[in-house]
Amino acid sequence: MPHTHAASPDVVRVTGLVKRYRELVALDHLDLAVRQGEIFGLLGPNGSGKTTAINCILQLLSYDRGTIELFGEPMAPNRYDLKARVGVVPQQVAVFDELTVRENVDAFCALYVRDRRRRRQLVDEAIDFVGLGDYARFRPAKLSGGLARRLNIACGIAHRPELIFFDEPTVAVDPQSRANILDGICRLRDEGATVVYTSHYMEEVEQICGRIMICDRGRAVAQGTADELKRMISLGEKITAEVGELPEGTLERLRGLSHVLSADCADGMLSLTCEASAHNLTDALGVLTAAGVRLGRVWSEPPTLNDVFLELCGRELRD
Amino acid sequence: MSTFRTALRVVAGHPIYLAVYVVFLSLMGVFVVGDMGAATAGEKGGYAAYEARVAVVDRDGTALSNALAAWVSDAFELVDVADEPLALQDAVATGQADCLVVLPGGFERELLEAARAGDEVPALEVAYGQDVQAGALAAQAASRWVSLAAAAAALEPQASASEVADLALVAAAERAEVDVRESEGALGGADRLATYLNFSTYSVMSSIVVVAGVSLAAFQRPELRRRTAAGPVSPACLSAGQVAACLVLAVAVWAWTCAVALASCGGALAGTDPALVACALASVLPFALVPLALAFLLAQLGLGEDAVNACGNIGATMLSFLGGAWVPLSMLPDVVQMAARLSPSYWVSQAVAAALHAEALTPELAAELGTNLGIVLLFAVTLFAVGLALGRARRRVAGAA
Repeated sequence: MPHTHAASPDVVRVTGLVKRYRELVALDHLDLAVRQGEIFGLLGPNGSGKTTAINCILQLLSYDRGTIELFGEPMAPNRYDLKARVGVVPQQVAVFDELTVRENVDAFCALYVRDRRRRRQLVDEAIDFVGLGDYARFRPAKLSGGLARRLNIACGIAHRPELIFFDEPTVAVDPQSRANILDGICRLRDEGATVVYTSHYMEEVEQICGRIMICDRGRAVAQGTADELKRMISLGEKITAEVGELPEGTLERLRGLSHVLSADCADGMLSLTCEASAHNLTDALGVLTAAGVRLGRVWSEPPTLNDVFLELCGRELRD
Repeated sequence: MSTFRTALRVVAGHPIYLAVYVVFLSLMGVFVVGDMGAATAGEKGGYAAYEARVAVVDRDGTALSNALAAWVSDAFELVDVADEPLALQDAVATGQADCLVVLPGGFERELLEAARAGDEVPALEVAYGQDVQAGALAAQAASRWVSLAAAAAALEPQASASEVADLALVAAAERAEVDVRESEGALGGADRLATYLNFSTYSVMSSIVVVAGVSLAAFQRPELRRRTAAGPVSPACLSAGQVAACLVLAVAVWAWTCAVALASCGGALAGTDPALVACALASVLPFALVPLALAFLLAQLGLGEDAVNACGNIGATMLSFLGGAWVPLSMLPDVVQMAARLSPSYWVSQAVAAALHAEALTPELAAELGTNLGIVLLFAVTLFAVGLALGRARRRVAGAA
């Protein structure tokens, strides 16, 4: 169950962030606040500014306007004290092909932890955390896609960061590895880390993120818990029924019901989308029964995060 | 593991590069020097004039043509060939004769008339066999005899053909004296070492560009760079660690090259001043910084492993050529010799030659070495500065903070 910490201080606070690439506005006065101890989901279509925002927060990119604070202090390229408290798990597997699993984790951990003995312990813990103990002497090329992703995570978390950025860590990963990675992220949160998580997989975000921000065209379109986001859109309920053949005029009568947004029938399956209302299902069943429709299975579902995403960001293709 | 150690580990992860570029190429230099030494050692045994098998077809049958045929039989191995088209073709085609000289009818008359009228002497008809070099030299000797006969005819207008032939025989007997001397130290240890160190501009250049370039390029992979840049270590510290590791590699390659050079020339260097040998070996060290700076530049451009390999090989071949590693610069056109001055390998080869051909380490020699090696260092500093500037420009274009 996602944790939320309404009273927790902000670990990340971004205000009015603007980033331009010549005429293209990648971030348009973006505001963002991530609370301590939460998993914060950052959603958006391709090119919406998610990665640009993270790069600006990490000071990997310069920006034109706005302020960024980490742990309550202004972030700057030379704030190595703040950077030392942050971990990054990039989208691509970013490791040295020439080093073994252990050497890779050690190499990145060494950027943060000087003490060799302490580092050895942290490296062991990180390797155990992602379950790569049996592969410690393997080179990345010998690892499967899922194991390489786990190595990528180990390299980002070995130094025990207080704030971790996960940039689509489950891309091209099988369901078992994905479940393992998501469990690991929740464990990090349970151990006190704050996580900023970007993904295209809505169910993942809904599963692990306490609060979610949907951004599009460099702006924050909506922000809140999954339930809060679902309440922001007009869609309140989706009703599906096995109806076989529909008598003439039935579809029109269904569309005429109050709160019904759309009604379609294809291959004997009736699909209704409705605004939030207490009587949508009974009203629809009343119309169908009166028309003499012989009903099979009938079910009703609340909107998903995917519906929220599509309604807020539109359905046109991006890239 | 520090950035320094990581950079070294990355190189250790490419044992094939170490084996091929560092070990194999440096040993190849030993074979080159060894082969050259063996070839020149054979020449010390004495001097022998070239030999050729020559067939003369005398269709003139005069005193002058007979005299030429007789001279040829003295100077070369005379081969009898019937004056028939098929036999003549066979003689050169099967290698029976290296050179076939045909004296056409009217040879004597035309030669005397032309010589005394001041006209051009008729050329000999010649054909070469399988050993073209020997055949060409024999034909040239026969032409020389004809020229001498023409000169005698011109100088003695009243002389008969027999008298002209006698004069030509006397003149042709005059030859440059050949005296065989063993030049001291010409191919001794110092020259062997100079040749090896000249060749090592290729092995040092290619091996350092590749091994250092691969290490530096590994840190420039976009996602890795993003990850390291997000860490609490400044870009300057990260670069310093990487460059320091590559500097260690460059020194190691230089040390290995020196060790191989001494091992291959060690005994022969007994008569050479150790200080001069040390100067020659030390001259290669500043040169090792040039490929290091080039590797840094290539990494700043974001080139991958394959591109670094290509640049290392092409650059090393070009520079070592301009340094005279493959062909002595004196044998190359003036333009190439001028262009060579724009390459660091030229200056290091000058320094090595100056050190190994000196009598002793004098202040003048030290100044000459300092000048040459200063120019070499200037190349390294320039490449490094260009790399820094390009790297900064590239990061600025990418919008880095």
